[in-house]
Amino acid sequence: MPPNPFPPSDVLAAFGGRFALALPELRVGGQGVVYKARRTHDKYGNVTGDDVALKLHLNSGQDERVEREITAMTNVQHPCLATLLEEGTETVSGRRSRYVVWALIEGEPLDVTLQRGGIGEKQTARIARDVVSALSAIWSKHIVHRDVTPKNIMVRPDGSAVLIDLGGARHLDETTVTATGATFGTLGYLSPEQSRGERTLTSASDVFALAIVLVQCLTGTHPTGGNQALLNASPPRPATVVPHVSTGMQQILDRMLHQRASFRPSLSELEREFEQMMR
Amino acid sequence: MYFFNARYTLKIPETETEITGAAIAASAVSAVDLDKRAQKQFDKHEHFKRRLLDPQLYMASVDPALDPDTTEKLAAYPWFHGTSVPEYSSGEHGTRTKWKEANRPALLANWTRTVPTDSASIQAAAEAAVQYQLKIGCDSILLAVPLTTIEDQSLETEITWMRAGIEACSRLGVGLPVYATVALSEAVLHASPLKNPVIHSFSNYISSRRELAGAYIVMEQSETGKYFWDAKDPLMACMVLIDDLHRGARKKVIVNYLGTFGVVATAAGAEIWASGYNLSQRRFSRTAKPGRAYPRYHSFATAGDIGLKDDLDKINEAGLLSEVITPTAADAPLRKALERKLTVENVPQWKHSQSNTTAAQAHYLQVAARAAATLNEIQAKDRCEWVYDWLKTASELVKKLETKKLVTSASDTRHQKVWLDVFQQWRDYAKQ
Repeated sequence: MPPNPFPPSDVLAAFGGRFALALPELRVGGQGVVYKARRTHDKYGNVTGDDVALKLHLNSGQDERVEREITAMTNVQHPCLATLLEEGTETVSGRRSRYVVWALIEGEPLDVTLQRGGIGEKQTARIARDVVSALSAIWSKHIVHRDVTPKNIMVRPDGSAVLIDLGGARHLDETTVTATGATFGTLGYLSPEQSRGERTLTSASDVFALAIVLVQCLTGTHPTGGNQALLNASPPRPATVVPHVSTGMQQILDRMLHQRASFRPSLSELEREFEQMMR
Repeated sequence: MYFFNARYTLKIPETETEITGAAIAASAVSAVDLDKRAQKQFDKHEHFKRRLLDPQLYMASVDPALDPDTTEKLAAYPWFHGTSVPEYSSGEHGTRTKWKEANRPALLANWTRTVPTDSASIQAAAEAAVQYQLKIGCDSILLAVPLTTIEDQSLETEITWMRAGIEACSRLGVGLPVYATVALSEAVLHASPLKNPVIHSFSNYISSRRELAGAYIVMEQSETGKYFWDAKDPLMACMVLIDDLHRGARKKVIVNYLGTFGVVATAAGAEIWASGYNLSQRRFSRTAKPGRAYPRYHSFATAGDIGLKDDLDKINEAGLLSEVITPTAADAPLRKALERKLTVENVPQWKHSQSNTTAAQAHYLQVAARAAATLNEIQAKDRCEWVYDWLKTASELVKKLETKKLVTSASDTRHQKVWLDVFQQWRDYAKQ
């Protein structure tokens, strides 16, 4: 783990003791630190007493990503999306840092779950339904997530799922993919159109990425071992990679993995399909 | 469905098969004249009862020095230069001609050859285009969208206009189907059609907007003199775009300026194709100058036109007339004469002389309307087979005519094989 640029004592001091930090840190990375904490007051002095994830961002080139996530999450509230409680800027350890307070999501990231192997079809359908429902909520504001991966899906102890990290989210009407023109997203989950760097991405790209995640849920492994080039050359055929699951699940995955975005099922259609599969 | 691609004249020759509707091009008729027709004349003509107005924002770069007439007509519409165009008032301006004379210098002087770029102007222009279509009683709205050219393929401008049009429809409470115009310059289509990001980006965007019923597709041809487009990649790109929108996203598609390739487009899912007899009604070009036409014999059997100067007579002499001819009421005198071993020159309505096109036009419209009506009666799953048979037979027939040296460059014989190949390529791709 890299050294923590925001030691707990500095954080406590910077926020005037309104966060009681639970150690060790949830995550220390190149972009900042995430603490689990009990928030006694919000920034306006209101008593809260809620359990939160306090995210402190290093003031680096990641700012745009943070702002994008804040903008997206300020506009959308949904039970299957992380809840933004507070955001602001604070001087911590001598540096001005952007901080974001999220409602704490109990559970673990899906990639951690999948390290133990695949999960059943019903549980997969449940995760799918929740993620689709979250994607529908952001899509109703014409926002595309662009980075649906197991790492960005939290699974609660009751099996429900929460979609997190909208740092890559983009409004449909913003046609530039990234400032540099490079493709955004995680290799191994990019839809064909995302991979080609197309300018107009829609929820159909998220649908494709989710299908890869679902195949992973059903088999415990990524269909191409995370290899994007292989994925582009030969997209997985559900009937061969997940032969043990129902025909209904295979058919829906097949449609979600269609090479042409406009041929993939809509989010509302998927929500209905997965809802039925959960029964 | 076949729509007549309307020009200045409202009246069209009578056809045995009813023409479903009309697509009116803004460049063909000035706003002030169109207003008058909307008020008094549209409902008198059956084919205008269903009408579309193409705002032709994609023609914004027309050069007034080369084509002042078209420029003047376009410039009179408020979406090119905001709402500064004075409305015609008989009390103030007298006749419409006087209005045009009085405003011509200002209209031409204000023509910047660009589309409005700031947000407020785009919104105002997009709304003006919607309002105008509502005013003249169009049965669908075609959003004003600029041309996609090789110089700028970011699509940012096009999407900004589409969004502005969608918002305008929402503000105005439009209950009619709304189509996004997709106007593509040929240069952007010479890429692998299955991997062309411009095509994919448009289909992605349109399929994602619930407010849109579909797309109105126009493709600019670089070779301005051709009645039949024979550019393989652009035509395939058109098929892919139609297929993505129709079969993939379940949207509707209207195509214009593709001539009888509209029949092929119908097999891929286009709901309406618009065309007309004259070159300017069959293909879209920003640079071509309109000229006077000669009569051409449209042969559905060859999926092309047969030259009337010598070719049709030679075909008749070779005993192949019945294979080439597509009988209509308009060509009856011609057929009768040729059967009696007379020549085209003996038939005044078909004589090869400039502007003698009334019969040829009536014949073309009847053939187009009949083809559309026939396709309409065939179940969607059988259309592909029908179109394939048509193109295959046409390709073989023109090959025979060429081998026997019965046709010259006055007849169109090159595109049939291209259309057949494109159609087969699309069928293989779409598994249809």
